Amino acid sequence: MLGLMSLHGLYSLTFLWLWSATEGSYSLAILRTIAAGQGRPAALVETFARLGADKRKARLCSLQRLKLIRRTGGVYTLTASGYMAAKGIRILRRIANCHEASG
Amino acid sequence: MTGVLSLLSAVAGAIIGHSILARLLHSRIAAFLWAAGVCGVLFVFLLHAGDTAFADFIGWILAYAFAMELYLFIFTLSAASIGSNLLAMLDGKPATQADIDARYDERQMVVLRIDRLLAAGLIADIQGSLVLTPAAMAALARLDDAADFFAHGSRV
Repeated sequence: MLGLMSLHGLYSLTFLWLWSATEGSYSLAILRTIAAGQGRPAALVETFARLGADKRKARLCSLQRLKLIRRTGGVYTLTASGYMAAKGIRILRRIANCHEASG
Repeated sequence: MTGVLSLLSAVAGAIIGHSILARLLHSRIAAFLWAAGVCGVLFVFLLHAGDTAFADFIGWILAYAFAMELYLFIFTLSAASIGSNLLAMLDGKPATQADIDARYDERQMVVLRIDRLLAAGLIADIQGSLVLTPAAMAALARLDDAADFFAHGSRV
């Protein structure tokens, strides 16, 4: 029973991982653009900087929708659940020795 | 009970090992693979020494594999996702849209990604223009097949 549940978990996580990688990966989008023959670094930086800004706006909206952050008077703050999530992220980053925000 | 204790010990060992190796090795993923691999082997020895029935033996190994994949998924998500970066940024100090825009230099983020792709050997700089390496072409073909499977229509 434990094995079957674990197998299901492994399958689901792998599926989720592949799905998200093929759907929205930033690095993958850069590779596809280079494959299309647009490999000039300056043009890539310009294109993807715009895309990154759009993505960040979309993530801010998602975090608000998930009630992890709230916007009051133009200022973003964490909600109680957002605070818990942020603490969890800090602990994981400390374990994995990730100091810098990387994307 | 021996299985539960062995599993918890192996998972804890892998996480502690990852924490130590991540400070010693250049790659955090390599650190994870070493820690999870070594603890996995030790876990198998523990189960074997505990005289576990074959079906349970397979079940515990799958449980360990799932725990490790879940940990890898969560830690890569917390390290690299835009959402987790925003949450970490807002932890303890509220920010306006201007603060967030100032903190994230989008151009720098793209340069960082390109540098990582170069370092990973997926792209090469040929006379000022970036091209895919054969490894990247093969990986992209496989991912495109996966994208077709998931019916993701739009590709950049």
